Amino acid sequence: MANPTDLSVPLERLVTRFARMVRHVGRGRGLDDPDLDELLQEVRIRLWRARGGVIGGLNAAYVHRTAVSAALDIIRRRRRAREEPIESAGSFAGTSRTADAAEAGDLVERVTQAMESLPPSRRPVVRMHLAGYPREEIAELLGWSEAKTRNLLYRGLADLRVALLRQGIGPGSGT
Amino acid sequence: MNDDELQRAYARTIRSPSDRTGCPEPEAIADLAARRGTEEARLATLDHVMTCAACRRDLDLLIGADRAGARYARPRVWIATAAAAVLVLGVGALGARMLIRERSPDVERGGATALAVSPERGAAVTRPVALRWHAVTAGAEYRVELLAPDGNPLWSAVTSDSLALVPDSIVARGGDYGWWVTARRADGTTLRSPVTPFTVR
Repeated sequence: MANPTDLSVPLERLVTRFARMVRHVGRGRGLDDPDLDELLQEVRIRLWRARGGVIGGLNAAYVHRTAVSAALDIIRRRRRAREEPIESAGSFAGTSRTADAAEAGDLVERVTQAMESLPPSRRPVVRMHLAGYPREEIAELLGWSEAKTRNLLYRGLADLRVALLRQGIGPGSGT
Repeated sequence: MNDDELQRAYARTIRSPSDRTGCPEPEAIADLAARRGTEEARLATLDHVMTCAACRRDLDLLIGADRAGARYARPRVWIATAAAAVLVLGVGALGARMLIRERSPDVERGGATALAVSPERGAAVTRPVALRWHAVTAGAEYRVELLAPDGNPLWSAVTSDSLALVPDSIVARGGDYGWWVTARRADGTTLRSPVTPFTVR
């Protein structure tokens, strides 16, 4: 392995540059700092271990692969550790177990059923949209054109509204 | 119903499972993030991911790594490294020779002193600063912290590895530091090393 001091500068230069990109992309995706820090630490160690004194010679494809495999390993590790449940945006925390809770549970059930009735080609797109992902990101993830994404999304949303109306859920239903 | 009402209603359907046995394998989510495999398979994975808070977190992390990696491959826009260095930390106020408080291990004493490996007490090291410790058991998770001489934490990392590399920016000025590591075993018990002072040249 090269002299550690010689190694330090190119490694840090590389990781700093990559960190900027991870944080830029990660914040846009709503990733929290602990997730980003964990990813960066994994990437830093892998690059340090894998390339010894030739950090400066790393190509971009290698860094890309390293980042993805590091993320994958973090996810595997979390699953092994049986992480604590993540509180969802729509959890019922604080809701008393009263008629309100029963009503809310009923709404969840009906929305779930309406969603399940959508065609498989439209349902995930509608889910992503309702989860807050912008249309461009949906198109990029699925490798679809903007026009195809828009078409399937709007048809899917129309289908969902019809299905919800059949379930008795319309404007002002207490959502 | 308008979009806002739909979004609020949909948010209530998102599950947060503690048991992930019904979730797609991490590799399937990675395929989705990288647009690998058939569209049918990816849509099926996505359909689950968007109903599950834990899988969404996985997907977001994978997309973040993938997109950042892809951006890394693009021609770089150079930003003055000096400006970045100034931004990193205002550590100039550190006293020259402050004492590092010894925090006694309050979790488990037996064997704790053997947990930390290097840098050893009083060692003088150069960058990059690699913190190493003994792995305790399979499946353990480690939290390692770098401390300022006054005992305030400067940097920390959580890993399942027995090695952490301190970003150069954190120790750019050199001087005195301390570090310690806490191991959290799969059964929930923890083992903590004492603070080990060392110097970065």
